[in-house]
Amino acid sequence: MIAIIEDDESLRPALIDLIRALGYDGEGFATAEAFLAGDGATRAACILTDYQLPGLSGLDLAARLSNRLPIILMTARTEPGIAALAAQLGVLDVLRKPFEPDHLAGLIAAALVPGVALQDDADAD
Amino acid sequence: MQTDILDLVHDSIITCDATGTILTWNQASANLYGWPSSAAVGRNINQLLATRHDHIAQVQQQAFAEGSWVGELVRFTADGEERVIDVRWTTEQTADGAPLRIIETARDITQRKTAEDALRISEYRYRNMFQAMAVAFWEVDFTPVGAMLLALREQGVTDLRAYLLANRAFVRATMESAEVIDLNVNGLAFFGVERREAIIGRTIAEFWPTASEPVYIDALVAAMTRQPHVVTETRLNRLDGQQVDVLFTVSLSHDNRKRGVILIGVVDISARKQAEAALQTLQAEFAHAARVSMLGELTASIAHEVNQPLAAIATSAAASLRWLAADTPDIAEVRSLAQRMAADAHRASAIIARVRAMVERREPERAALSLNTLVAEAVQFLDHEIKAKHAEVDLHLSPDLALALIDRTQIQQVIVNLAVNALQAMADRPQPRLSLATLALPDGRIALRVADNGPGLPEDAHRLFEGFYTTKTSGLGMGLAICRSIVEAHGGNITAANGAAGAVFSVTLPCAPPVS
Repeated sequence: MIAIIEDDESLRPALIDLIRALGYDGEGFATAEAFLAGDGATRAACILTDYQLPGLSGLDLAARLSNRLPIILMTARTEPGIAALAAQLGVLDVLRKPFEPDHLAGLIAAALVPGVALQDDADAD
Repeated sequence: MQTDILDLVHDSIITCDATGTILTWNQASANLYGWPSSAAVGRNINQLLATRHDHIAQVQQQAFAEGSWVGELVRFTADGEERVIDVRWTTEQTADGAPLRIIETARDITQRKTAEDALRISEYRYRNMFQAMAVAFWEVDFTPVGAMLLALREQGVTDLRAYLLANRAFVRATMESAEVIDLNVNGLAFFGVERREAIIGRTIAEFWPTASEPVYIDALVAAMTRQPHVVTETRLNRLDGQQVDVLFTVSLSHDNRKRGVILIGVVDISARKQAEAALQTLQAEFAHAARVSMLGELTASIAHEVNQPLAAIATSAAASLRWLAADTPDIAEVRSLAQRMAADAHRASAIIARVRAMVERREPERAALSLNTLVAEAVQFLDHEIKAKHAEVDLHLSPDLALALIDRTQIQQVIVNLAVNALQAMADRPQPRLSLATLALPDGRIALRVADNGPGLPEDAHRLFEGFYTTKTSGLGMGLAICRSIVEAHGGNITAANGAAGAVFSVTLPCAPPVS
């Protein structure tokens, strides 16, 4: 499962749709807290998160998970330093909104290569 | 014994010898001048009271020659206060005609003098004003109009104003029957004619544009309800057809009323009107510049807000392409994605429209609007900035707020500006809280309070509303100065104070007059 953490009510469902169209299972969360509250962290194979969220930010989340999961960060902001911080925290890549969906598809594929591909379909086969 | 009786008299009574040395001094004198009898008796009256008169000795001489003198003297009390004294002297002479005594009765008329002076000055000003302002006077024969209005009353019309407002043809008919019988030199100049004959005999209908009829109706109603005069602003036509802004006065004096004549005074105020319009344009341009500069500070927020739906559209489009590329294209998925893209595109364009409305340069335009609506719109406009600053917003919108006659863009600008300042002031606070409240004030006006829980106002807060004052590292510091100019142009005022938690900015606005 790929966790999509995004507070924007139109971008979140769009991302879930894209993840599904790419052949993965996607699950949306409006905040990092909502993601951490459930068993999302144990089920997710990869996290796609917005940088700026109400409460914990995408970078706060990366710090908490400390490299346990591959994380792709999205941001619409332009502050310098986000990319450097993200790299320190082991974030896979920082996508500047609006981003190229094909680029996202490539990143997710790469993120899932070294780990176990947790595709339910594959498990069922 | 004599002194006791004199003490019961309200007027000051003093006796002096021929040289002015005080012999007796009653209680009223002590009250008036502040010197007790013990301090006054034996002193020279004119020295003690610093009587200001260049020829006091001659006056005394004359008084002794004629037996009496009446006049006004300026004197000073023990406290050094100036008093205007109405003085009556009766003199006594010795048997051989030498001056013996002066008996003075006196009364303080300082207050009456002040009132008289004020009246004299105001009369002088009034006369001067009439000459300086070049008032054009017309005399108009209203006898036929009076007859027409009386006929209305006999027909049972009770609400004259309502009737006239509804029957403009009748109003025109009254104008066409009101002939100009005379006018002064300024009147000739005002109407752009050289000879009286060019105007006399014409009816006032020619000078009255339709748009100015309500003012004429007011004057008629005032005449019928026996009000002494009407003063208002309106526009009248010159003989060449040009319209002129005027201060319009109608004098309905008793004498004129008896003669059936109305005296109309007209002052050309088009220059003042032009200056006012120029000022308004300048104010609007400043306001516009400040909006553009404020949007500059919000660029990051606005970019983020537009990027969000754009990212959603790009993502949905990519997903659609993948659904379509499948062996059996999933049309249902694509349809729902297309609908979502349309909605996101709409959202993006709505954001652009809001920003465009803010940067648009246009004529200020007043409409009766709810301040509540504007506050809600401003909060929506700042939605992202508020989220980015992790601020909580408290909205207290009064449910019974009267509408205000305001320019939507400019008042929104004030609200947004105050809210942005508050957000910036709370940047270092762990739990920033922005509070926006509207209230109906007891005096009928309406108010907006913008409060924050930041560090409060600096010590030199009185300079806040001056131009180029800023506590921030960025920005010109014109924001609050522009806010004040906008609010004041709306007939309101803006103040800043420290509240329980941080700074509180209050904007007060008059509410719109009720629509009749």
